[in-house]
Amino acid sequence: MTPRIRLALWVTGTVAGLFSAIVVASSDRTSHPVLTGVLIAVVGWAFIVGGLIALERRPDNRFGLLMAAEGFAWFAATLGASDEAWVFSVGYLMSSLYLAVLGHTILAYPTGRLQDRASRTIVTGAYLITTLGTLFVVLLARPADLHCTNCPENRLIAFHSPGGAQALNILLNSVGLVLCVAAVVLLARRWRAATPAARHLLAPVLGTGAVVIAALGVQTALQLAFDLPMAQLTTNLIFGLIPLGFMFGLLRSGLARSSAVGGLIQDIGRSSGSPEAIRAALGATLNDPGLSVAYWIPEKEQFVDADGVPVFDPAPGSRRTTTAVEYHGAVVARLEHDIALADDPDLLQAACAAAGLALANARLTTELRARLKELGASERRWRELLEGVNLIAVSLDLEGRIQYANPFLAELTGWERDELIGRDWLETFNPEEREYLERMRRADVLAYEENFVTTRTGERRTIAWSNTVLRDADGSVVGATSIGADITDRRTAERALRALLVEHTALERVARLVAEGRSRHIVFERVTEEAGRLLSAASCNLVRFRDDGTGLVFGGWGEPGANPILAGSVVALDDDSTAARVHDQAGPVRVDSYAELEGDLAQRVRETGIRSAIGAPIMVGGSMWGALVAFSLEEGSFPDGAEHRLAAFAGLVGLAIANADAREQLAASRARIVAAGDAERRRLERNLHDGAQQRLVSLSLALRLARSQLKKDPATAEDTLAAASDELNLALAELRDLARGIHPAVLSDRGLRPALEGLTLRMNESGLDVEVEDLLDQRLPEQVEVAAYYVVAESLANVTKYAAADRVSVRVMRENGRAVVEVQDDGRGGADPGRGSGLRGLLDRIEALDGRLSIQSPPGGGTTIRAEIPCA
Amino acid sequence: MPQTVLIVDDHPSFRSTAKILLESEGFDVIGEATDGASAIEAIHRLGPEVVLLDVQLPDMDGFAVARAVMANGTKSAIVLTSSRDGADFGSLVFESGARGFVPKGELSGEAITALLR
Repeated sequence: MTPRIRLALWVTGTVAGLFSAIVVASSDRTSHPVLTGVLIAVVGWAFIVGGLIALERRPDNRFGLLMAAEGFAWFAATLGASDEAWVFSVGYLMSSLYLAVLGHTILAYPTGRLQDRASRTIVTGAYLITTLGTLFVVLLARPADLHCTNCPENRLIAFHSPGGAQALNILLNSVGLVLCVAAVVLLARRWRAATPAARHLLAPVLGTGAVVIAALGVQTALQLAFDLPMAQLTTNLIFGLIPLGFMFGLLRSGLARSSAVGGLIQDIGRSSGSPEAIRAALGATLNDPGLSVAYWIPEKEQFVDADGVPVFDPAPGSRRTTTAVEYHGAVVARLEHDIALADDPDLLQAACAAAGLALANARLTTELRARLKELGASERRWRELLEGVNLIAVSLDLEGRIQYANPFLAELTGWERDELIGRDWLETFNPEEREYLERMRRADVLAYEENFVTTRTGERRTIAWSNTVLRDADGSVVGATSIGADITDRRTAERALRALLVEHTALERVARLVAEGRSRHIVFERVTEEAGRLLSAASCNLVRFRDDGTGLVFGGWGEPGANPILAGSVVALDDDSTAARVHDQAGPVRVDSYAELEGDLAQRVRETGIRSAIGAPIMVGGSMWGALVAFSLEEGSFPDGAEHRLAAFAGLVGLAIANADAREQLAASRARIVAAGDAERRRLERNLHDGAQQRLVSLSLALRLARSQLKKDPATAEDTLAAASDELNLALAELRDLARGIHPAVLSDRGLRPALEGLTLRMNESGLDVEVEDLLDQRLPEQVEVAAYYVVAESLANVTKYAAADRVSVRVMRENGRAVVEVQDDGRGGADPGRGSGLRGLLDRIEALDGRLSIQSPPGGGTTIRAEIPCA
Repeated sequence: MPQTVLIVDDHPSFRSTAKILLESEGFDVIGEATDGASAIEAIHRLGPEVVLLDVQLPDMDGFAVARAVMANGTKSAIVLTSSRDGADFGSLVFESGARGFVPKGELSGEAITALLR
């Protein structure tokens, strides 16, 4: 609102007041013209002046405008006192508008705006009945109809209806009464819900307003009940109260502010100046006991409370709000207060200004407190960390005395923590650390170092240290703090790992020798050396267990100067020794002291200087072949588990022997196969020479003879030719048998079954009772069929030659992916594959196909030969 | 006067055919032997002019038999024979003291007579 408009309002208000006073004073109907005129003008002016002053001070607040409007409405209503008909008519129309404006003003206090729906409804209703409602009455009634017998003519009347006018008047008064009651209830509720700060603000206006509205209600009720006209003077007096009340409110607000601020300054001056005292003084001054103060910490860009705890904005809808307090243009604090205080910003600002210096000081106190608090928390966190970690934390002074020791150091070293404080570190834990103290004094400690501490029980623990010197405020070295990790177990594990690596490398070297198929001699030599060196033995030997209960010592390895057990020595396994114990226990053994052993052998061993030993069995093909034994010249010198590590080497020895055995067996088998082939060729040559060849020679001679006989003695020649023909048939038969012996053609042409049927048929013809119980119909791989055929052929040949059997049964089956051939006779038994070449050859032939040949031939119990040949 | 012959061979068919052949050509087969030992005994006992001696015998070879009887100072002429070729034996024939070698397939009175000359 521009100053010009405000000036216009001042002028208009003055003129309107004078005009109203003249109208009222000049009226015939006014009982005390001068008094009433002055009263009317004063009441109206009081509203207008109060409103305009309020507007000057708070241009953004409409309350002042409403107050001024009430003054003008009041003057408009006084026109009804005029004796002039037109002025009277207009005054008549405007006679009750001031009541609606008054209700509006009171309900809109203190902001000038209607805050809720109820107040808006009431005010709208009031405006309707005082404008439209009054208009209808004015259109229907003559003044006499409404108790004004000497009033001028109503110029605005349209349809004279005294009954209608009275009825409408009663209706309007009734509605007005209801609205008055509603307004009083609403104000009462507001009062009840208000905080102390809000009540302080509301009290003068609401109190006056409530009284006026109540008085109006009573008057309206009286009018309704007894149809009494409103007493003009009473009304004037009642209304005279309202601007006085408002003025009192405004005056009190200003006075209160001055006294409050003055009191605040006094309170703060008298108080300790502590944040809490300032907060209490502010709360009391602003009538808000719940007021709180937060201080601005620029570094953190955060408000904190007096204890340094961060505070945050009040929750939306919580009826709390904040106001920043500045001092010399910088924010120092923030008040969190009742939202109602925002309606009296002057008081708030005055209080903030008055408390600014004190709050700036308190802010410094609070900032200091916050820093201390943080420092304390930080220290506490570090302390808790050091107390809880599995690391040593220790502080020493310049004399090497322990100033701080965490529980882990105490736990690790077996000391009580209390005992450690003040103790000399060097004396207690490590006398060799004198250099550390010197370095500490020179502020030159090593950032990282490894050394040891000796526990109370004398155990040495390896510690990895991180060191840092401690200085005082002047920068002088006052001691050092160290954090240490116990790495003893790690170092032990690393050593074990290295040892394991060395052991694996040694085993790998031996394993390579084994894999390369080196001779036993080389493997034995290397195994004893590798195992002996690895286990720090003085010597290492192999002992071969023999069936006669003795052990033969093989050459081994010995450190120079050691007095090893001589190769070739024979030890009795029933005499106590490491090898004998391995033999008895069939597992790794250790003899930590040879003094424990009794007997001659133990005595002889002791005489060589040996004091302890370990041994492990060498297993070959599931049975114990011998033992690997390592000796030491000191008692108990082998570490725990050394015998098991030796067993790993013994295992490789077993493997080497098994490999060598297998190679030997393979070589022997090959030799036998070659020999069998040679023998077979010799047999063939012999058979050819003795059989078919002789017959053909004879035949050749016979033919020559026949030719010479043909002329001189044809009859004899014919006999000779007949004999030659017989000889030729025999030669052919023998050649056929021979060819069949080399390889029966029917086997490759038609398979195993026809070949075996032919074989058994010939056997039956030769007088042996052969019964075929099972024969496979299906074809098998050629090698399998050939092997199966020879198993049957060789077995039947043996039966014919040696068994003196009556019956033979032949079966060929297929079981689990194997061809099974079984030839069983009821002869004299006692067959031995080691003696003849036939069975041995069969064995080689079946093993070459990865099959198995078993021979059961108890003397007198018949013979069963069973071959199983894989043919999946 | 036909010459007397002792046939030494372990194969009956050869012995019988050789006997018929040699006799048809005028020789007098006075005995047969089937192995080395009986041959030495028969040579000693019968004193044949010709001994037709197989190289391969069950108990010893024909060269050993020849050496044995020659060592005894026999007067019999020893003719070695075999179903194998004579080249297989090389100088063994003459080193043994035998008069010569006739392959069995080429046996005839003529062949023996030629060796005796």
